[in-house]
This record gives sequence, structure tokens and C-alpha cells, in this order.
Amino acid sequence: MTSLIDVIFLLLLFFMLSSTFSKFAEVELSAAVSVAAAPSETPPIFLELASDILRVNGTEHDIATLETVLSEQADPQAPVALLISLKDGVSAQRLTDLLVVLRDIQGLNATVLGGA
Amino acid sequence: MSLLRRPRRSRGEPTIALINIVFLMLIFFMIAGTLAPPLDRDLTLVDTADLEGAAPPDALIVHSDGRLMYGGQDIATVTAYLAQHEPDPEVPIRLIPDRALDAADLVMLARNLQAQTGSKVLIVTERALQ
Repeated sequence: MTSLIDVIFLLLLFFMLSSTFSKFAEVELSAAVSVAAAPSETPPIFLELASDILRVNGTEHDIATLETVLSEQADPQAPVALLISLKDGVSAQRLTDLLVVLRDIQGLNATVLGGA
Repeated sequence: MSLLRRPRRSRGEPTIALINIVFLMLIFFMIAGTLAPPLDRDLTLVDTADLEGAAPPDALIVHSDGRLMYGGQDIATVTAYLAQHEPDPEVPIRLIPDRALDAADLVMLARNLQAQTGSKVLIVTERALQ
């Protein structure tokens, strides 16, 4: 009986110490940073991302309401170019937040400017 | 024989109950946990909520100061990383940036990797618990 418990404890300790509980997810970055953007008839949307402010064509928006704003202008038949300009001090977290919003919107061709 | 027939005064630990609990914990950790090599200790991952989950990644770590790391070892440049890994355009490259990393650096790195390999570049994030 004791040897059984010994073995089970050993297994328990192994799994407790070696397992991780963090869940990972992925979001694509390359589409947004690839240089070639297809020319389109409609004028591009210009998005300015700073660490605390987000402007779409000059008007300030919140990242929570961004999806509705951009969905109105996006067209799945003829993708609209979206140019993202990064200000100084923008963190990877902030950029990822934006990319997560953008990946749900069809009909947008997002391109991050600069950093070449 | 007389030893066996003697009624026992004290019965020791309730072993079966103990085993039951330990088994329960063992099964919990086996099912709920994921076995994966640990990432670097001082890396705080980008936090996201609305993405599907993905398997624990085998990826290039980018620290907040721009240092690259792969498989627990420091990597000097992107070229050094690509020298270790035969670039395959079909296989996406996964980056694990620190959430405090400058976004311009991240974009530059991704652009660099994409130009040299032609494969997709993905950011690996940590999915928030809901």
C-alpha cells in the first residue's frame, strides 16, 4: 500500500511542477507589415495609433468603438486600404489590441507605416 | 495465529481516503495542465481576450529591450536565428514579444523576418482567463 502511495505522490509532484496553465493564442502580424499594398479606387483610411490616443482620419476614437466605426467604411467586395501610423512609445500590447480588432473586420487592407 | 485474531486497538491512517484525494489531484493536473518548456521568467506576454487558443509555441522570444531569445539561449541577430532554422515559406514564424516592447521595433523585426523568409509572421499572446 505504501509503495503505491509513493508512486502516486511522485506522479502528482511531477505533474504539479511541470505543467503550465497559461493559454496561448496567435494573431497574424505579417499581413499588416508587408510592404505591398494593392492600390484601390477609394481613398485610404488613415489610423494614428499613440499610446493613449487613437485617431481615425483625424477624429479621436476609443478602441472599443473602433470596430463599428471601421465596419461602416470597410467593403468586403473592394477592400479599403487602412494605413496605420505608429507614434513613439506605442507598446506591443497596444499594437496587438489594435490587430485583434482589425482581424474581425472584413474588407480592410491594413498596413503599418514606417519602421522600414 | 493468536496474533492475527487479536482485535486491533488503533487503526492507522485512512490510507484509501488519502489515495483517493491524491489520485484526484493527480488526474486534475494531468488533464488541466499542459506540458511545455518554460518561457523566460521575466517575460510578460501580450494579453488578449478574443482569440482562439493555440498550442504552446516553439517561438522566438523578443524581450522588452529588443533582445532575442530562442530555446532558452540568447540570439544576437535575426540572421543568427535563421541560420539555426532552415526557413520554410510554408511554416509561419512565431514571435513572442514582451508586452512592453516598442511596437515599431516589433514591426521592423517582423518585416525583416518576412523579407528574409517569405513566411507568415504570427504574434503569440497569452489568452486571458474569462
